[in-house]
Amino acid sequence: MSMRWYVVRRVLWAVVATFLILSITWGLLAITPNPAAEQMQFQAAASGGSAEAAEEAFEARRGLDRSPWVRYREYMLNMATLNWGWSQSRSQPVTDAIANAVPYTAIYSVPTTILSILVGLSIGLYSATHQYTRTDYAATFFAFFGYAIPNFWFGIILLLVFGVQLGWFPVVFDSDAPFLSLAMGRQLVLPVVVLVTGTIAGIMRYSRAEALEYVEAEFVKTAKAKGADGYRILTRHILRPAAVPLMTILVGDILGIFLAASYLVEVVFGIPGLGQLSYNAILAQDTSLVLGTTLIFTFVSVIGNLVQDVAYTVLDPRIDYGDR
Amino acid sequence: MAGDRDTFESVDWTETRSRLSTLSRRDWGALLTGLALVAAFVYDYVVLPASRPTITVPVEWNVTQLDWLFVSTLLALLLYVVVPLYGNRRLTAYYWREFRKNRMAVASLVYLVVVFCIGVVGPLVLEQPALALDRAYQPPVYLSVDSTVPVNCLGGVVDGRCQGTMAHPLGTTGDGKDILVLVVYGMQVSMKVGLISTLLVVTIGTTVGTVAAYGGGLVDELLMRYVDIQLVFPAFFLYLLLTYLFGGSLFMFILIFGLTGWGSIARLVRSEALQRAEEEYITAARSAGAGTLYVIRRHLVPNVSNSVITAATLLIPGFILFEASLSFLSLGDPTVPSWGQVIATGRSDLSTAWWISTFPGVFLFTTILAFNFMGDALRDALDPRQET
Amino acid sequence: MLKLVAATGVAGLAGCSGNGSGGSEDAEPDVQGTYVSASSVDAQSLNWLTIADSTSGSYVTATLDGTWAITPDREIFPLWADYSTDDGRVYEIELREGLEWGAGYGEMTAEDWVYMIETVFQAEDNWSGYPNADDWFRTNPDSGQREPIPVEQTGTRTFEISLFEVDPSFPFKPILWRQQCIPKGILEKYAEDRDTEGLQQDEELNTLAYTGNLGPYTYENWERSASYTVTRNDDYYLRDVADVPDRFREAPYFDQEIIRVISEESTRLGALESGEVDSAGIPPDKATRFENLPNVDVNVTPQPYARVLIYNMRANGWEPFRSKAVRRALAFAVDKESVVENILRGYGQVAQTMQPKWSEWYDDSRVEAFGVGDRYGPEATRSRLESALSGTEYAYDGDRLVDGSGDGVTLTIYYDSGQPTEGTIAEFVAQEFSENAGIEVQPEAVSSSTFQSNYVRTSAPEGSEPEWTAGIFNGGPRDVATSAEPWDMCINLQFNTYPFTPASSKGFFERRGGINFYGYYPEEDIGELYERASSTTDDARRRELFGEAFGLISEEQPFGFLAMPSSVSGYAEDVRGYDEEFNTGWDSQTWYFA
Repeated sequence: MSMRWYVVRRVLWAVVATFLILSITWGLLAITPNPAAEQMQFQAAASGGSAEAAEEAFEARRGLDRSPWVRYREYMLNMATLNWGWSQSRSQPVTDAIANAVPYTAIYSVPTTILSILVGLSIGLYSATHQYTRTDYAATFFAFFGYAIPNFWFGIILLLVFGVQLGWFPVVFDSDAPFLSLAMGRQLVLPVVVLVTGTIAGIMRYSRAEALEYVEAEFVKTAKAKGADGYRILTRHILRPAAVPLMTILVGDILGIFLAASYLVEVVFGIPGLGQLSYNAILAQDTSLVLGTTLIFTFVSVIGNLVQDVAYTVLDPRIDYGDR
Repeated sequence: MAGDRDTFESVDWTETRSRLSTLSRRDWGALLTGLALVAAFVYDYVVLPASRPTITVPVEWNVTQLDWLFVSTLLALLLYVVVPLYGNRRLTAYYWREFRKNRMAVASLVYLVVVFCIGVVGPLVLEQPALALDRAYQPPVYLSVDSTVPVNCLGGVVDGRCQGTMAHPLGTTGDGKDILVLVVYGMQVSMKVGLISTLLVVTIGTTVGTVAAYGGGLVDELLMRYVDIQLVFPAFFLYLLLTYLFGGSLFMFILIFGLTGWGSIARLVRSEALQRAEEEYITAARSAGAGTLYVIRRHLVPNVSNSVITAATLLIPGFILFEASLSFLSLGDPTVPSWGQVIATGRSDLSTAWWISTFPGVFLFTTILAFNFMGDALRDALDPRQET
Repeated sequence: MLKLVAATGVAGLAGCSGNGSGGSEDAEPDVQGTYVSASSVDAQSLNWLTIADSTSGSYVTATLDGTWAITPDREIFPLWADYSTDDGRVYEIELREGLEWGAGYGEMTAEDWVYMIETVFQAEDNWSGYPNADDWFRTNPDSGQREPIPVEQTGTRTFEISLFEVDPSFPFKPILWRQQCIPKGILEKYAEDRDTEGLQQDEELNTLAYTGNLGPYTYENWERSASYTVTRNDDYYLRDVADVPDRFREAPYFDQEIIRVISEESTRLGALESGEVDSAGIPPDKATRFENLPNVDVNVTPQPYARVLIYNMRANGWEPFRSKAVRRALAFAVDKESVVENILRGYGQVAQTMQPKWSEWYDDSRVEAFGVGDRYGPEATRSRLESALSGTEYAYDGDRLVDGSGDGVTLTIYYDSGQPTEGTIAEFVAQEFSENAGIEVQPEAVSSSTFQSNYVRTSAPEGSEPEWTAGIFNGGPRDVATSAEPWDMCINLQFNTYPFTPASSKGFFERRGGINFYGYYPEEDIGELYERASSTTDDARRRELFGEAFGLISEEQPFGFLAMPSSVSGYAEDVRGYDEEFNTGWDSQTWYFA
């Protein structure tokens, strides 16, 4: 089976999987009772009006007075033809809503990913070559500290201390600040710090594990015997074989670089990004918006998996893609 | 085999032992205790009325669904982790020597064992925290808070600041519940969430992964494509739907995320098992007449278990943290005194009554940290590829 | 309903406040500054025909005034229009001169109004999904059917509304109070084809392009989930009107108003403290801290919502609740002052009936007090409860109330799992019942949507036909129709007491009231008192009748009235114009920076 055929098969599968997930999502949304509708009916009855009339008005507005099959067909067709519809909870087209939110997610997720990869890699490699020393413990502790501390709690504490008490950073996120300006940079410091400390651990651990495989290898001992110093050993001998699996992780992550949205951080800092968008859409049961964001996330993850698998087989000649 | 003396002639070449005879003593033990547990569960649910506690000696304890699951999890851990370690002393000693090299990991292990013991025993001894409005917002001992924050001050007001007392060493929440007691109850909840979910994930993931790797072909394809879908399955939506319908419950959280979260373990196990499946001992076993189930159970699973165990020690804190995050989003179980719930209730008071969120947060943090250190050390100790 | 909530100054919105008396400022304030307020949720839409949440309503009200406002003294203050009536049944509405639409739609005339009412509000199948369409239909006593209220244009700027029955408080109801309008030119495009989607997605409706000179501000920008900006309207019509108080002369006095959406409470309060926003709602337990801050002023205004303890008198509840004597006895068990002092931190008032104390319909001499002072305590509760339950199987075994088989009575109380304050109140009530009445109470958390579908909706069992039914919440007689799940008490619901239009709460106290999901059968005919009061045009007589009705309600104790929480808001210390009365935001366009 050739490589091309394998990739095509997996992409087709990605489409099928996305379709399945979207259908399941739509189904779950359709059977969930809508709290807003319930509340409106109750309010209507409480003020002496008619609950049924309120329910009918709600259904007319949301287009829910049609049969489920009709609604399902319409949504799936819309998704397929990239006409993603109108978001009820934000009264704008779904594509606009997503297009508005992605930049806000990207401005904190891009620096986060880059920084965490750089810092994580360095700590991991250093840790592998200096196992069980005090600096190893300190570096590991720092990485794990960030992972273990709950993001949301850390964010609120930082905001209170540095924003309210010390006044170094603004408390409210100003969405009007131009994207590449100093003002925007200032208000991104705290969210990026929170996120980077959280993600370093994973990368660090993985790079350390990979590098450890080769730290005691024969060829490294040879290099040491020949007089190479630590840095040269690291970059020229260990990094090369370790780079293969590391690459696969990075390549898989690149796709998610723009979408590594963190809802918790967005809520605490008030950033109107994709995380908030999709979560609020779920709560408001705004079907078109939920389907739109789910489509993006699902498709990207499935393709990300595929890219990772392919990259692994391409970069490591020992592995035959036929095995997968 | 029959006969008092085994001779070449007395062997019956067509006779094979039944499948069941390949089960070890330990497996029989597990089966028996499992049955006993199910019997006790049925007795509790069908026979006993809801208000009467299940056991009254030595302590009164009304066993909930979650408790049953927890007990079965602990039994499984005992039989499949502790007993094998005990049985194979030399290997255990080797592992321990490797593990001991990482001192932080040893400290973490000690900490976790302490937390586990307190978590199991504590709630049986301490009373469930109750509302006490006159004790709301008391500061921790040796610390003080501005006297406008609590309604009532138990420790006396000095210079306009309410003082903490030993009656509430870690302070109280806005409802007057003692934080130390909440932290102890939270230990049990964290143990339950972490251990039960992880056991579910590990069991299912390992099974699927090994079957897929060994079976190959169509079986492999089907299983892995299903795993693909499950990895992107919106379990969160399902959880949200059930929360809307039935209200948030810890049992549901464990069930849903345990039953849908095994995808990455399955992939991991599969890639490990793929490498092992070509080894000679597998071929040898097959030639000796072992069935598929036997090969998987006795040869594949124990050999992939190392990576599974390290992954498991990282899953446990993942689940605990996830539960805390969901509680923060008000999607958790409000009746359960988990650390996440306490942090969530104190989040808007961080500028005044900071201890409410901070102390459970510190415990959450140290527990996760401990698991991480332990997981790293385990990986180093259990990984046979690393040459020393 | 939307405007009712918006105008009561719900926390965190750019509310308005007014001085009943004329201000002592002789010079008019300067137009300066940007007023930034913090809101916890974002609006859903600016197209007010499709929305029913108060945040969206407040966004729109900044740019469109509406017909008239109600002052805290319960007087009508004409904005776009004034009304006149001879008999309280036929109302003539007259629009002001000089009201101009934006986007080239000309002058606002009665034609716009009549067209809107007839083709959108009163459309037979409610094709637009207008949430308040039901308000425009009333029962015609001649035919007994619900029919659209006849509306007729009588001049260029006048139109007439002919109700079927006399209703003197009609102008105070949300149907017309602060009601906005849309140019006929926009509605025409969609009305004929009944194009719901087109109407929802219309660009001009969604960007408030048609507001012309009709409001103090005009739409500038809406960044979803981030901020909403409006700028001062130089053509604001109210400035040119002769008969308004001086403070409206140069209104509004802010160059811009921005509403910032900050969902995390600590961030919101932090922004208020650091001065990045000028106003935000403050939860009661933080209020004291903010009162001590020099740069923030805390303002407490009363709210019309009452926290009540609802008893389930249906077949799946607790039967003794049906007895008035039992309910009156139980009212002695809960210390209402403690609820206000400890849970609401003093920001609230004790509730004794379905009206707040400061309302003009509240007659102190007729309302009975429970749960305060010497009308509270274990002795008082037990003695009364014992005698109230004397003929039944329930009796006291020592301190505990036991039923016929000697088991202690255990009741359940439900609260919203997403509201920690409710949880606290539920646990407090449980403790009080246990101590003072010897009844064990088990608090249960439930999500609000679960609660509504499984506990509030009542219906008769499958297949049976109840004698009568009054809607999805009151499915039939209390012995027949019950909710899906059993419950004894609940406190998740706060009820609006309608201090401006008290007749609206009639449904709670009628056997066949549409909202009577708890199965209360009143002993006195309270509904009849309501009807008599709403149909008389004599103000004094109406006050007397309502006073009597609310007195009766306090006597019958259909639910346990607990407290009426107040709304606490924090303002930057240079903001002026608000006051401590109910509906203080009615003239927010006159607020200014000192």
